[in-house]
Amino acid sequence: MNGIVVLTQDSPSTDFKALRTFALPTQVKLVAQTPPSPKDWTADVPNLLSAVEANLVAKGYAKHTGTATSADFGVTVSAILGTEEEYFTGVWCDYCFWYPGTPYCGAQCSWDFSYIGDYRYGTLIIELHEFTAPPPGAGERVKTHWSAALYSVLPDTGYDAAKAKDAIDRAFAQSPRVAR
Amino acid sequence: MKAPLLALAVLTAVPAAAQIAPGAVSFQPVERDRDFRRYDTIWNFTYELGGAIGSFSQYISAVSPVGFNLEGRSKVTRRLSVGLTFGFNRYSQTSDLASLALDNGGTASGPLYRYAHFLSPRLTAHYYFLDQSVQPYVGVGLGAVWSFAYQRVADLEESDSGFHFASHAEAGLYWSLALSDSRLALTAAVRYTFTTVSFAQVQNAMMLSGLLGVAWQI
Repeated sequence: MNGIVVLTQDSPSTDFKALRTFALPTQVKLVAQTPPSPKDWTADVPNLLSAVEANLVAKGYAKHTGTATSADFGVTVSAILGTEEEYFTGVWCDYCFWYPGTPYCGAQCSWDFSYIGDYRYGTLIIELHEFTAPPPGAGERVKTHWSAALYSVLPDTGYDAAKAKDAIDRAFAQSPRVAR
Repeated sequence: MKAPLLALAVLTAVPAAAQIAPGAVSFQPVERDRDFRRYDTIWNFTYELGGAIGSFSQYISAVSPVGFNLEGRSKVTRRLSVGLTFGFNRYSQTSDLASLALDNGGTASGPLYRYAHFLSPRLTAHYYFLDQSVQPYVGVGLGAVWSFAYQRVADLEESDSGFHFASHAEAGLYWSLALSDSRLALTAAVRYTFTTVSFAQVQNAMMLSGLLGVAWQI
C-alpha cells in the first residue's frame, strides 16, 4: 500500500486544556536505523520543527522561552529508519533530547495508553511529554501525553518536504483533544 | 360361460359409452393445468449489481460489481412459487485518505482498504401477475447470511465475521424467449436487502441492487 499513514494516540489521563507552554527541541533524533548511521536526522529539520511548532501554536499553546524544563510539556521529534522496527509510546526515553541550552535525557518513561502500531521504516515520531526537574534518573518515570507516528514520510530516497509537513498537520488535525 | 360373457360386455360397453358421450367424463387435463405443469420449475442465474445504503454506505460507498445468485423456484399454484436461493456479494473500496478509529483508542489516517463479503442462502416466495411471455412478479426472501468484513491501514487491520439474519424484497419480470415444453427467459429485478450484519460503524447492513440474468422454466 502506498501513501503516508498517520497514527496518533493521546493519554486519556492528560488534561490538555490545563497545559499552556511547550519547549521545542533543536534536533530530530534518529532512534534506530539499519544499518547504523549518525545519531541525528538532518534533512529539513528546521521545517519539520517549525511545522510542529505552528500546529501547537494553532492549538492554543505558547512556545516557552525560558528554561526548557519549566515549560508545561516538552516535544520530542524522532526518526525511525530501518526495517521491522516496532514502536511503543515512549521510545525516546533511552535518549537525550537537546532543548535550547538544556539536555534532557529520558531514563524510563511511563505511559497510561498502549502500543500504537508496527512500523518498518521512514517513520517520524512526535511526542508530547511532561517535564520533571531535575531530569529523571534511573528508575524514575516521565509521562507521555500524546504520540504521533508518521509512517513513510522519511523514505530512503525522494524525501518530500511538503508531504512531511502535510503529515504533521494531519497528526494534529486528527487529535482534537490536544488543544487548549 | 358366464365369465367370458361378462368380459365381452365390459369390453364393448366402455367404447360405446365413450362414443355416446365423449365430453361427459374427460381424463384429459384442461389447458390451464397443462400450462401450470409445463413451467412449474424455474432455475434462475442472475448477476447482481449492488449498492450499500444506510450506515453500510458510509463504510463502503462504491457500487459492487461482484454479485451472483442461483435460485430454484417451484410453482405451488399457477401464480405462486416457493424456492431457495444462494447469493454471493462482494463490496470493496480503497480510499486515498480515510480515518480509522483503533481499538486501543488511537486514530489512524491514510490509504484505507476495505471489503465485505456476504454469502447468503434464503427461502423465497414469488407471486406472478400474468401468465404470458412477459411475466412480472414480486417476491420476498428470508434466511441467513455469513459475512466477512475487513479493513486495513498500512499494517493495521481489523476483521469481523459471523452469521446473521437476512431478508429481501424484490420486483421483477421474466421475458420468455422461446415457448415449448420448456422455455428460456431473461429476467430482471430490483432488490432491497436487509440484514442484521453489524461491524465497525455499520448497523444492520442494507443494500439496493439490480439483477439481470437468465431463467430456464421447465
